[in-house]
Amino acid sequence: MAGVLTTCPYCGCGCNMELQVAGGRVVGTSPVGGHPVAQGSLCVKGWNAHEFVHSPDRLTGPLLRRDGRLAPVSWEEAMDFAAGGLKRIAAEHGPDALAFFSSAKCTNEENFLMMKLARAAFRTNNVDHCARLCHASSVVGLAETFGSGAMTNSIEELAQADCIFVIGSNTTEQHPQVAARILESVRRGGALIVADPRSIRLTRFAKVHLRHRPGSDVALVNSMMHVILAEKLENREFISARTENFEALARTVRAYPPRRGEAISGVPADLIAQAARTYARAKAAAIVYSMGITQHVTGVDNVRSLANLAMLTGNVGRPSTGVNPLRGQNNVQGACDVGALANVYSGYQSVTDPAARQKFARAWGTDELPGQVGLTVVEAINAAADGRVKAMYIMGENPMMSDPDIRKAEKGLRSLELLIVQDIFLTETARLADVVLAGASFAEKDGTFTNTERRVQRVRKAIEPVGQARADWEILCDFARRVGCEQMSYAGPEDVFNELAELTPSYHGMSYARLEPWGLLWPCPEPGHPGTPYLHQGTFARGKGHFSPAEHRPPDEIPDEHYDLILTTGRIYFHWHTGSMTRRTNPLNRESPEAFVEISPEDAAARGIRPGGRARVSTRRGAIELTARVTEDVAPGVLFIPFHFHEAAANLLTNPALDPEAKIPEYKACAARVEACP
Amino acid sequence: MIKAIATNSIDGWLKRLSAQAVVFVPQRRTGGDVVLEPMQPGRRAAHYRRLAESPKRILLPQVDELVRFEANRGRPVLDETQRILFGLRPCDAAAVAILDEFFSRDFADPNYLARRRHMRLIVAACPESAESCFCLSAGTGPVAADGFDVQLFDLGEIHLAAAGTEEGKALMARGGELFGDPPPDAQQQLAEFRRKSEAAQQTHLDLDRVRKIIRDRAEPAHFWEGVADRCLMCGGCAYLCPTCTCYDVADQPTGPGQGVRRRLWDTCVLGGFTREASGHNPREPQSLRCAHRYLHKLGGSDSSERPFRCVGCGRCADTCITRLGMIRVVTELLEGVAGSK
Repeated sequence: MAGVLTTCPYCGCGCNMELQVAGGRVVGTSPVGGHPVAQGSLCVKGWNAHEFVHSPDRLTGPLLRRDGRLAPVSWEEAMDFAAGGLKRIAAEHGPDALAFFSSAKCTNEENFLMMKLARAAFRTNNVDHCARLCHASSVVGLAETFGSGAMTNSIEELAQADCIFVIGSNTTEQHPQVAARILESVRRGGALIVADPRSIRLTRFAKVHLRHRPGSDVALVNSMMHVILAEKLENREFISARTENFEALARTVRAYPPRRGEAISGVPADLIAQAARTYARAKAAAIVYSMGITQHVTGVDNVRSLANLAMLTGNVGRPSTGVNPLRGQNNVQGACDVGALANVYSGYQSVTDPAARQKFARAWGTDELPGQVGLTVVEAINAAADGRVKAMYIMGENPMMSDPDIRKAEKGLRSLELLIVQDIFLTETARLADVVLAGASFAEKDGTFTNTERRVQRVRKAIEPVGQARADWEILCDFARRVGCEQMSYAGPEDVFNELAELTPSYHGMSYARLEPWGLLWPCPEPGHPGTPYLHQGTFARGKGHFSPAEHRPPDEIPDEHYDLILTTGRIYFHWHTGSMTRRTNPLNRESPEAFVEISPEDAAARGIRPGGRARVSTRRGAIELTARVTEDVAPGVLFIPFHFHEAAANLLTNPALDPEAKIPEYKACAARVEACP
Repeated sequence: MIKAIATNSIDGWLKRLSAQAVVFVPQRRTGGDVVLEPMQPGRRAAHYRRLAESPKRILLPQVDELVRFEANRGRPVLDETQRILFGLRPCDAAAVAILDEFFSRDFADPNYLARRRHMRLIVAACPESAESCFCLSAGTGPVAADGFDVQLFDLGEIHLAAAGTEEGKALMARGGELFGDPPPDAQQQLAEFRRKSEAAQQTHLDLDRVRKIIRDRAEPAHFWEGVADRCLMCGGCAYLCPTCTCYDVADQPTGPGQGVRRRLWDTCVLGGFTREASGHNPREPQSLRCAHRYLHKLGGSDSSERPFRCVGCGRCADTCITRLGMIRVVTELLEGVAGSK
């Protein structure tokens, strides 16, 4: 048995771990001391990260649809079919009839190659990935206010914060290492404020729990700012020296006295005031948020409001402060950084900027690159349904589970002339494909992941890909070669990394050698640079911090007489997203083997729903049946369903309404009703 | 029988031993952890330290194939590799003794015992303690009383070696001329080694007292709820615990008509461990599961020889995501009891 040091494939914490290898198989996982995030520990998912790798369900070779069924074929045949098909459709209908979905589960190198394939080989900006579904609002909202759309501070700093305001993040379940630092801050006497419609583990430690209605975040935070200004708790010095547009903010929040905040959010006015004072009076106060903030039609406004709150009190640009979006996937930060987004190249260099286009065209040895922003994830699927997009290449994403309103997604995918899916399992999405390419798991390839605190760190190959599967970067390079793109030939992932570092200012000083042993936090602009634990010191990335006031807007769909409850969706500790890995991991699936809906005792009793009984939840999109978990953890009027379970997919119910700027769907609030199953 | 071996001859001895067995030696990995890995030519054994993982990783692997089956026939998978583990600490040797007892008590576990029968333990008595070591309190160290084939004492220029079993004598005999007579003051040096080493231990826990509190159910009200609130159910305490033996069994197909029955590490801190088919769980509240684990570790044994299932290695304290673990829980329990009087 020998250990191979690598990075966990689950959440954005980015723990390093050692995979135990024996006889060409991964047979265990060990924690690693000394790693700045993991510090010798792992969560239960990390401890069991080896378990899905040799699942009997792994795809061990490519599949091609013949007579309506997917059958094993040679790589040669599968790749010819896939590459030939995309080439033909691009020639017939133009490059924008194609769409590429990259993957926050794959490495930086692979995401870079996917966006290069779309842009350089096919000349379309229709390349995007699931960041669109989780933190698109953060990227837009924080870029506008601060100039950089990432976590402002590092994970370790949270332990020293005097106050932490957690809003829309079930941190102990989704980011255990971050939660550990929050608990450490509490142990040291720090004040914890939790805003969440549900009672979560963290609320047991909270000085104040603001149990607001889903979709009332802007009103809640505006009210807090109202109190801060009314009681003169703002940081005048910071505001005048470091920010602009303060007067506009002051005007807006004047209209949100706590009583109005209470009317909209359901949180008692005095609790709002208490939270505001606690946050504003702390020496170092940090905001931590996740998808409870971003996944709304007001996602960008929610993020703006948190940025406003931090600037108002001068809690940016210092240790243990800041606005900290917790990125969900192991590499969603990286996939964004390297440009797997419809509007930017790597390093957030805009495709609409002629200078950026010219820079990438020159580096890639091509002539003109397309200058129009491409289709985002949900837009591309809608475009497939109405025939504008005719072919898709989806790598390591599962929209048939993760998109809002799955029926609509299915209609889009079924309308395609050609669907190529590259994955490690025959996911719900892969089942619809014309050709399936068998990719490699994290244990089977080299590369880098970037964690939520912007730490770029190594992923190391422990075993050969299973069966005939191939590393995703190799498949992409082979694909490019077959469509006649000469500029995608690499010796290996390190070679790709060097190219992306060359083209990406925030990664420019990095190399595989410099990433030893625990990686570097970007920005790292030149080879000697030590990396950057916290951003915006002295000056914001955009110069002055920009106050962006926002008005409360209700969710797209609000309860009415037909659908009288608010449904909110999310995740649980033992499972990961669409379940393709964790539901094939024995110790995890045993803990949580079935779909459930959380419902308050009041709502359950009124409908004759018994604890553990079956319930039918329906919305305007569809209906699912699942087990009722009757609990006071949800407030009356609110339902919660995790989206991991294909047999009762929460996203059959969710509303595909988008935030107008970030195009993120409103997973966190829609109107629903529930009844006992007969 | 005590012998002496020059410290710089130890690698030569291990090389001789590796002719007949896979010799595992302490190796330092990135980040500073020391773990047991098969000896490789040209790589010296790292300095003895508490190992990041106990021999459980080898004896009772995280994924252990028990039986391979096809059609209607099953064939047990017995690992009879000859292994010598070098550089274990006394706490780990004590832990192996507890594992041995567990896996042969009611049922002789063939998979475990096959591995164990072909494994020899060369223990290094502890010259120093990690901050979270409390083997003195647990009665397992820093010098092993039994449970080893050979025990070594690092005295600098030389190591003293004591055989604990006939097999241990044979291992030393393989060293031939490398082992010589001990210096005349060997007994004094051993006593001095023990005195220094015991004095170096920083963490002391009154485990007898805790054992009584737990067995009498005399914990302060809501004590375990307070522990459970901070337990994020990572399972690390049990996975790394050298004496935790809980496992789950899962079958996996490997081909048409073929499969393998696997034993996977499990832990009583997870709800699914005791959840029944009906959905009822006798330990549904997490606090009951936390209480159970500590009851089992500290209060569950009636043996006067080995009163604890905790050997004082402190790994649970170091791997807990929220830095709970044995030391903090025991400390809080004693403080809580003192405070409630």
